[in-house]
Amino acid sequence: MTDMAPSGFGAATPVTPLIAGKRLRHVCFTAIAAFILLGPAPGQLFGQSSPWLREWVMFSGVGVGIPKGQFTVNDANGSDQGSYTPLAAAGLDRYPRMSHYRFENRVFASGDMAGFAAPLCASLAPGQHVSFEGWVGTRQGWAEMSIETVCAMQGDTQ
Amino acid sequence: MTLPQRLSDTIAAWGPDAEGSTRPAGLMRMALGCIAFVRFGSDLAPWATNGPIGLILGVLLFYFAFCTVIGSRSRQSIAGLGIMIMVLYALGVTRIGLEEWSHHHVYVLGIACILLSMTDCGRSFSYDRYRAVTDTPPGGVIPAEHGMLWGQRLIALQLAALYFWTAVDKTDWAFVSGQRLEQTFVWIHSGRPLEVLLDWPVMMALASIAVLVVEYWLAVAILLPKWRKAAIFIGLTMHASFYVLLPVNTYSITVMVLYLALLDPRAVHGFVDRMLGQRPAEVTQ
Repeated sequence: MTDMAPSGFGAATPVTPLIAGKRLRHVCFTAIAAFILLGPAPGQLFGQSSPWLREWVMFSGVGVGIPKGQFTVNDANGSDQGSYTPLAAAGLDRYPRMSHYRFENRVFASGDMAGFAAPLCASLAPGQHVSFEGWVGTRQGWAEMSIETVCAMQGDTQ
Repeated sequence: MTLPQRLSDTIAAWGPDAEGSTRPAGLMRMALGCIAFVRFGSDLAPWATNGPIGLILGVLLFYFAFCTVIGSRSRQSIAGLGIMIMVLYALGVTRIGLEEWSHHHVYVLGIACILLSMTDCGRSFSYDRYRAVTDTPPGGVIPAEHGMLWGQRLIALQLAALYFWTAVDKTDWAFVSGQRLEQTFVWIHSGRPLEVLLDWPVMMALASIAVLVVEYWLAVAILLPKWRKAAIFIGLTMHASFYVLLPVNTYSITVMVLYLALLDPRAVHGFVDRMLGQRPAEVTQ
């Protein structure tokens, strides 16, 4: 290849082909372009994910397993002793600034809620119990969740 | 000439045969090297590593990043930097390294470096350029800031693919209804100043629809000259808003830098000339 720089940028100097041979460069360009454009298709269209074919699903898992709603503390006779936000029940001022995938107290089943609300459960007086009314984040949106006795359900993987 | 032939020639001229001013590639090279320093400084500096392997990874990565920024053996340096970043990505994917290394912002940075190595990115704003100029004998002709740009075109395709596939991921009721955005904001903004946004679910839905439409549009518009100016403005605005609203790490700044690959190299060349108080050279590409 004898490509030369056009006038206007300085002297006419040979352009350095990074892959010698026009045909080979065309083949490489086409192959890389196909990888870039179609690489995510197996995972995103057909569910055949591979870590080596990067899928563009940024932030799609953030908030999954995080509850939205209200925790309520009740006495043995059923009287309401106070309501708590999810953050208050988890004993947090805010969720930690870390990768969401490593937050261990996420809720994937009703039984996980006891782990999420462990600080609130630990603070209960004898005879009290905690209920939850609200939703939990899933990849399909908010999933309704209603739990009568949060703390007693620890270990339940319903 | 038949229509398929004309189409083939047009694509070839835009893609594998593309050449022009290397100033946009030079600017991208320096910026990507700096971003690599920022992203991995706290992961691979000697004070952050626990063993010889981490130390070796750090030394190699920072050596290539340094050479990339100053433009010494530019193409080899940025190729080395890209390979090192992809090695870290692989270590993250396999959980041998930090899990964060498997995130999309690391992949974007790594693949961009590798693709940029397929341009003559050392012919502008580099030590390579300085050497080429100073080595020119008196009365000789100064080397041109001109070279192959097919890697720059691949970066443009990477951006288009990124927008398209992220839009595909969002094309479901959970996102369009605002639920997924609300979940994201619950995690990120609960107990923080912007928690008030969670009181506006309708706004969440509208913002979700806007993001979806913009991302599908950007996937095409960034490649079409007639829409490019608007696409760049809207894209930059969107990525700037990501910085305010989401913990995007180096993702947004990397993509913003890569927007240089979308610009007409002649325009960037002329802009730099004007900034330096010179009359833009007459260029053909």
